[in-house]
Amino acid sequence: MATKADVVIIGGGIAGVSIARELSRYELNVMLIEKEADVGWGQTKASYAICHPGARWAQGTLAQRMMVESHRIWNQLVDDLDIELTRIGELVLAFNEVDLQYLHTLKKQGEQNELKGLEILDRSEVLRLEPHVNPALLAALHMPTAGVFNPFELVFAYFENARTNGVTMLLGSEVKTVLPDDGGFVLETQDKEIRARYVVNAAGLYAQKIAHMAGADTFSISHETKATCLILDRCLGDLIQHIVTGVADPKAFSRFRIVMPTFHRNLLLYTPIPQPSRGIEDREIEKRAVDLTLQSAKSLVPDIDFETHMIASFSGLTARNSRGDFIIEAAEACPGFLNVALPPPGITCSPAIGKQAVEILRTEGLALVEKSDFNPSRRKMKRIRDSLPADVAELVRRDSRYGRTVCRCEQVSEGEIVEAVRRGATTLDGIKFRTRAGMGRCQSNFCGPEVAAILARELGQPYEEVTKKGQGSVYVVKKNF
Amino acid sequence: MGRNEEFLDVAVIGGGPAGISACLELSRRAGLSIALFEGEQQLGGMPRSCHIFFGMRDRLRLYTGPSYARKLDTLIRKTGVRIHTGSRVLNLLPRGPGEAHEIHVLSPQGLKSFRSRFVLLATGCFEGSRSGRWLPGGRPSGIFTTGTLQQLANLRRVKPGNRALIVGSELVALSSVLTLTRAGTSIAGLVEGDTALQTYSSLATFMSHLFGFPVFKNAAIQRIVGDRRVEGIELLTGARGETSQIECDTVVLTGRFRPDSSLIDGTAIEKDPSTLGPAVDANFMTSVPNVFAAGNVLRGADMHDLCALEGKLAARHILTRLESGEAAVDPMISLRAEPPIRYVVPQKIAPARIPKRLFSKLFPWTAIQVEHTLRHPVVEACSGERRIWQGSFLKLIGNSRIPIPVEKFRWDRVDPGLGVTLRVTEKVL
Repeated sequence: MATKADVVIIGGGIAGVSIARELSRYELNVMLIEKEADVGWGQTKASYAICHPGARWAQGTLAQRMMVESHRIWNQLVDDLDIELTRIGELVLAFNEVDLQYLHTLKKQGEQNELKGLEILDRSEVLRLEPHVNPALLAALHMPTAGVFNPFELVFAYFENARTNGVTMLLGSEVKTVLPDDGGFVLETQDKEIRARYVVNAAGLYAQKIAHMAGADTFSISHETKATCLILDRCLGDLIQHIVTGVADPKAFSRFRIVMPTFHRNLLLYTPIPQPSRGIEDREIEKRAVDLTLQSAKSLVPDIDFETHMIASFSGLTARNSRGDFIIEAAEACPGFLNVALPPPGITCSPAIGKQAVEILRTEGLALVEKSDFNPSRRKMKRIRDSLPADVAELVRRDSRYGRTVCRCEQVSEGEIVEAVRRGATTLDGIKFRTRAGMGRCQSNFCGPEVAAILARELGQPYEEVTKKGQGSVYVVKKNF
Repeated sequence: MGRNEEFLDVAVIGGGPAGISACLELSRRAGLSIALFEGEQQLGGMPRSCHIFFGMRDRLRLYTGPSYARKLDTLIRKTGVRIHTGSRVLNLLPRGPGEAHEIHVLSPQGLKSFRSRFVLLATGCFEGSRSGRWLPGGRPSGIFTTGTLQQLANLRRVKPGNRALIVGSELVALSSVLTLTRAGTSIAGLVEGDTALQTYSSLATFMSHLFGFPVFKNAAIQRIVGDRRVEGIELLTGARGETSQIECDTVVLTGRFRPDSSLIDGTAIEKDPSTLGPAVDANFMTSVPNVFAAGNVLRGADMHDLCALEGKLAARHILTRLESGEAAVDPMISLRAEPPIRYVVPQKIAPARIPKRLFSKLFPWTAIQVEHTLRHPVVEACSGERRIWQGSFLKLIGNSRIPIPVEKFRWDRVDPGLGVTLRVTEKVL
């Protein structure tokens, strides 16, 4: 017996969850299918999580339009979904005349994109703002509205609110086939058959594969760019206050590169490196990439000891499509099938992407009746670390498990871990991304076994069935040897 | 938090060998209010999850790790020290001279603030994570540190994997051989990047024969294979860099300890950039008066019994300061080290107070660690251009404690303004 849905969204990345949340405003039966055990585990997870001000995207592109529209929505959305965003500003450093020219172009383009407060600062002003940047710089473009997100939190915010408003979440389900059938579609996962009137393909790296299943592949996806992020200990977090970036200049072999504090004030170093990857599943950290990332970061900030304080590193592939712009469109050959393929900056543009996708579905004939009981608001989890003493006292008074610290590095309590499970975490990574347990300097050295025990208890699962990230990733092999 | 505040003479943070031993010593003085704070439910610290050879230098007999931890627990419960287990110190706010330091403690009973004249940090250490070691490859499940392995196998009776590769060859690597074997996990091999093993190599060889696993020296992990669970390791071995594949579902990262010193981040307490722990003087006092530190929070893992003795010594210095007033401070000379010496602890020393001991090698209060194994090295101590001591060694093992006989230094030749710098050179034979 097939399950029925008005709209099925394939892919639980930032695109999928933002579209799901937007669709949940209407009287519709919406289902989101994600192959991983949790949402946001593809490109979204490996993002540097900048809220781009948007000067880099030229007029005439869909990406630029989505960017401008999103910035009109962001402040409201931050309030509605209790999203963690700090607008710390970006400094684009120029080291030569060519770079400087680029800053002027960027400033002009940014102003056309409605950005306020853009300013080219001279060397001494930059060094006053950021004493650790490379003193060889000539000038920098300051973009004060640039911000940093908690990337995981953002995805969970959309996800939780969409679920509250009735979207069915089918996690750990991989779509095997999508066939047009009788004015709609039949989808097969490993254990389910689903009939949908509309399908939104938001499968990220796998968008071409999914589109091909339905005969709607009017584009191709390449995954030739692999980005590496290095996360540094929080004790360095206050040394850099802004998102510091460099100008990419292919002729001088300089890459786009970032040194920035994350939302949680770890330093993050980022460099995308074009290289033939090991395939679409390749998320391996390569020595060469780590070296290049460090080297690129040092060209921006030469005097900080990054090496000693590296606590985590990860790599991910960026899906770039053959058109070099956002694709959010109905496939002509396949009525009712919507392709969404987003090169960066998908996260920044996510508010408008959701709305755009819904508008296209409307023109494709989807009847949209607003729900009378749509609840736009979602509250984030309470965290011991971020709470004022009075609030901590109140949390512990109501639930003493908030007084029991499990992750010492990030000060995460048992109460927070239980709450993460309640909100949908089913794996160790799911708990980590929701609570930060294990994201500190010891990287779950101390708390790993206890987090696994709490997870097993809350899910009513044996200890040896706890996984790091879903099927095949068991934490241990046997209980009671 | 004024309402919920308690006053103490000494607050000891960390209920492992150093913290408990300090409390035992402090409690010999009647009338002091002393509190011990431990984040875990049980006292004892690391020895709780380890196995044999405990207590030799501090308790003068042999214990297993858990029985040593129980012994310390029994002893401290006979004293008047107030024990707060399950109580995590969230913040330490050091105050100026004459003021009591402040700590904030979270427990299931709530958030509580304490004011204490003296604070002893004994928060121990942890092992370097996978990223800190720059290990390339996938990020699958099945990568543990020894600490995690011991928790899983020895405290929870869980078998972490079926076949494990051990990375590193410090003493703790041999301990993980025992733990893995006990849990029923077979050992695929032991990998050391250095050309020499970083522990008693005959013991390591004996164990590799006994348990039947290969030892790879001068070898580097080129790639961790696997996306969900570890599937194997690509190893680069030999001078010519041959790649070999090792099948395993578990990787145990050993050694590379670093202090768990997050409480001093953002405070005025000076951190030594080479140990990443608080810098202390020969009395175990940090740069902030009346804040002390002892045990592995100073430099990463050392033997638990030395930590215990350090805790005891720190406690004695606290008692001395309580009795003699806080003004009396001996003139201190600063100690520094140059690579390949990784660090020297303590970072300051009072030449007038260096104890003359019969067995100073057994109780080495001044020690260095070198980054890699050195053969026929010469260690020298200089103050500016003046050499004040020189010692030849057959071998200095990397990542292990090397005592320095500071009592033999020509302290009269030291320029206090320049301090003392320790250097090492390898003799060319």
